[in-house]
Amino acid sequence: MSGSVVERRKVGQFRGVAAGGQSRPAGGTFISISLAGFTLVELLVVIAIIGILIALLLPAVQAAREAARRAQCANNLKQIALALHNYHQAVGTFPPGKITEGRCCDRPSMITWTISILPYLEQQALYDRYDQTKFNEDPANQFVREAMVQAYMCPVEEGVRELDYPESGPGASIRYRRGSYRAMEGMTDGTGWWDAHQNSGFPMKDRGVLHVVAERARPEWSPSEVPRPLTTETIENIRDGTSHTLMVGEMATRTHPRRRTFWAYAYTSYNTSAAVPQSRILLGDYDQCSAIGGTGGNNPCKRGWGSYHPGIIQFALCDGSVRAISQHIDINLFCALGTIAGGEVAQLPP
Amino acid sequence: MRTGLLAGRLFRSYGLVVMAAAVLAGCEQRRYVIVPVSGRITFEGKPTEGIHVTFQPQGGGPASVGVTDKEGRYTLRRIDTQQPGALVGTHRVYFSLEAENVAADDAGRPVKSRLPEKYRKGMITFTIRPGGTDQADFQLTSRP
Repeated sequence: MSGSVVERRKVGQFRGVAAGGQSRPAGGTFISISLAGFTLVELLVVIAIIGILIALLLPAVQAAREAARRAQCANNLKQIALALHNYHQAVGTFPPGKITEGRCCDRPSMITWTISILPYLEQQALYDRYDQTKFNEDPANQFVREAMVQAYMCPVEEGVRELDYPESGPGASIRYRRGSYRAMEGMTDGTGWWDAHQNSGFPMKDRGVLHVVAERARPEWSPSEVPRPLTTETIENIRDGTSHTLMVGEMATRTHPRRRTFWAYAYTSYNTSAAVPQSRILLGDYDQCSAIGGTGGNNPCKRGWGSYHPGIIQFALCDGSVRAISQHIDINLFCALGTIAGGEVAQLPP
Repeated sequence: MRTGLLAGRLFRSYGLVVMAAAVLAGCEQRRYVIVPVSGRITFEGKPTEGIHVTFQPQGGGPASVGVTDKEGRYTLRRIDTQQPGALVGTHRVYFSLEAENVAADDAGRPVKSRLPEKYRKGMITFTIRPGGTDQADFQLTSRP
């Protein structure tokens, strides 16, 4: 009750200012309260409600922004998949994942899948700057190594537009442009790889669609140095079905930046990755993957997959579709999806 | 009467708060049920240090990893968040020996593992019950 007395006094003061001190019958006071304005409590309540509404809206806005960026990265994958299919249409096979001279390691490389498909990404001019008679690491190819190709960059990734030195190989002392996408080279147990000629022990059915291709066995090489004769793949070779086989996916690590993707670097594990039955390869975190350990030491971590999208990694399949795969996908299913002729019954969950 | 009006407004705003809380709770991501899991692993009857073990939930879900100490004891942690424990359900279990987990160079070398293939390729399964366990024990042998 004392509250209402205070209110009346306030209203009286207000009226004194607004209406020049004219006195009115007390009966009119109640009506003028509603005209006069809001009390402090009412204002606080309104502010609180607005605050809650904004709090509701902000995550939705953030989610929409993230979804838009994710869509942009998925669109890049779609363009890459289309370019690979157009290459297949024109040439008759998919491009080589990479061409490396002789056996690993530290041997220079020639062309790689990302450069082969440049004309089909409307980058003919850039493709023409790549001298195929010289090595990937040759000074003549610096322009291509450092070029920014929008289709190879997922804008969510921090620092994806920057140049950096890869951690290993003949290109470790020269700079390459980062990228976001790697090709699926195939499945192994973690002790050897389809991106280097060290793979003679692995069954051919476990290869991926864009693996290393042998070229230039020099006559002076001893038989142990001559690479296994791997050739490029065609759609007919994908016996597991094009909609059950991974082609290109996202790879970014939040730690150890020199192990990120370098789109033009052909050497071993910088623009192709593998399927290994070890859950740690899908963490998108090189250092954490190394710390967990497993068969092959940190080699599987070099061929891992990861993204800056929470919880998922996007892949283009061999049929050209783009799918988001959970970071926690059953790892045996992931491996089955990595091979082109494994004969597994493997289907992505919807 | 005025107090009643104010109370009405306040009540409506509380209603909003409750609604907001309900909506936010609805937006929350799916939570996994993680329970504590530990155990002991022996190789050829002896406790062995440095056996890496991964529990992969069948049908997908976050894996959990652990390493044995000198007594062969290990405790699982979620692979991504490091939270202690593992998902309830049936898991495929993968083993590897730390001494064999090496990378000579970028290409690696084929390793003649002391562990038979069944331990390395997830052919062993283990079911974790809702209460968790401290007896997720395995006796590994070199017999294939």
